[in-house]
Amino acid sequence: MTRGTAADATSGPPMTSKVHDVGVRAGSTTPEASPAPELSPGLVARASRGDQAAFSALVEHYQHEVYTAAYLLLGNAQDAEDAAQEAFLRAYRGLARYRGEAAFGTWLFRVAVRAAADQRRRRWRMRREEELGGAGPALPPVLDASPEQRAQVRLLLEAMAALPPARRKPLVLREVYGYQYAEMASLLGKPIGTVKAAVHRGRLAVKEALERRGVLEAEDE
Amino acid sequence: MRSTVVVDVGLDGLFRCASAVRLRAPEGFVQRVVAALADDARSPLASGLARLYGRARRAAGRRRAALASSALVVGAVLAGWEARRLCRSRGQRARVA
Repeated sequence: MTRGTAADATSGPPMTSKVHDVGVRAGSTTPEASPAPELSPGLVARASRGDQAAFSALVEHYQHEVYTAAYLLLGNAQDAEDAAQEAFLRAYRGLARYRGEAAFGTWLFRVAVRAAADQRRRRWRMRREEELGGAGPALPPVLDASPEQRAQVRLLLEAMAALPPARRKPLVLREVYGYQYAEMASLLGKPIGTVKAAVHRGRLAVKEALERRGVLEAEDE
Repeated sequence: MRSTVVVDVGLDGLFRCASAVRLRAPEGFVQRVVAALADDARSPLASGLARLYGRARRAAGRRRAALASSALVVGAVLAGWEARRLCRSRGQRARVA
């Protein structure tokens, strides 16, 4: 796994070993990712005192990570932008409540997941109808990735395109960001059993979609 | 070539790949967030109302979920009673016959 290492050191007790810290992810040591600009110390504290310039610097620093999370969770560029913007607005309003128990990136990521979860289901239905009409999901530009990685991400997003939000979000949180089921349940406001079932079914649907396209070999049970 | 790549990495490999890449936020995203922040600061009443509205919507969602689960329980109980009533009436008819 590429995630987790440095994030664990900065994540607070509520976060478990596999939970991804978007801030750390930005500067992770994975060979594929180039580090985001350094986050100057005290920026979060200044932003929480109402310093908009400090908060703008935070937006600048975390924009790609939050947008990526929103896009993976929602599968649509417009929805992802709306959700990412809403996440930053909520973060700004809620900064006073940020106690520093978890890394700021982890906290911001949770705000982003909630913002993405609040996107209306109606939007998903509209999008799905558009996509079934022919146009596939347009993938935003991928930063710091090889052509092979871009092809893989595109395939995955295409395979996830037909998943309803109730399956897509748990699947992404679990498989991409390594969340524990209990945390996902609390974040999505759903029982653990529901979340587990959603991940299982989502995974199955993605696997079948890839197998149907002939890009993943069917496994013998 | 594509299929070879995916067959090699498997489904877990695809998810790992997704966790390693970052997508570029749209051009001008930071400026739009900053402008929205400024709007938010200019109209605290509107943003306060928006927050209240959001909370009300979430609460309504929870109430709807609670109502739906209650309706399911009531429906299941009623279906059970109806099934028992049918069984009894069939039993009575059988005894009469």
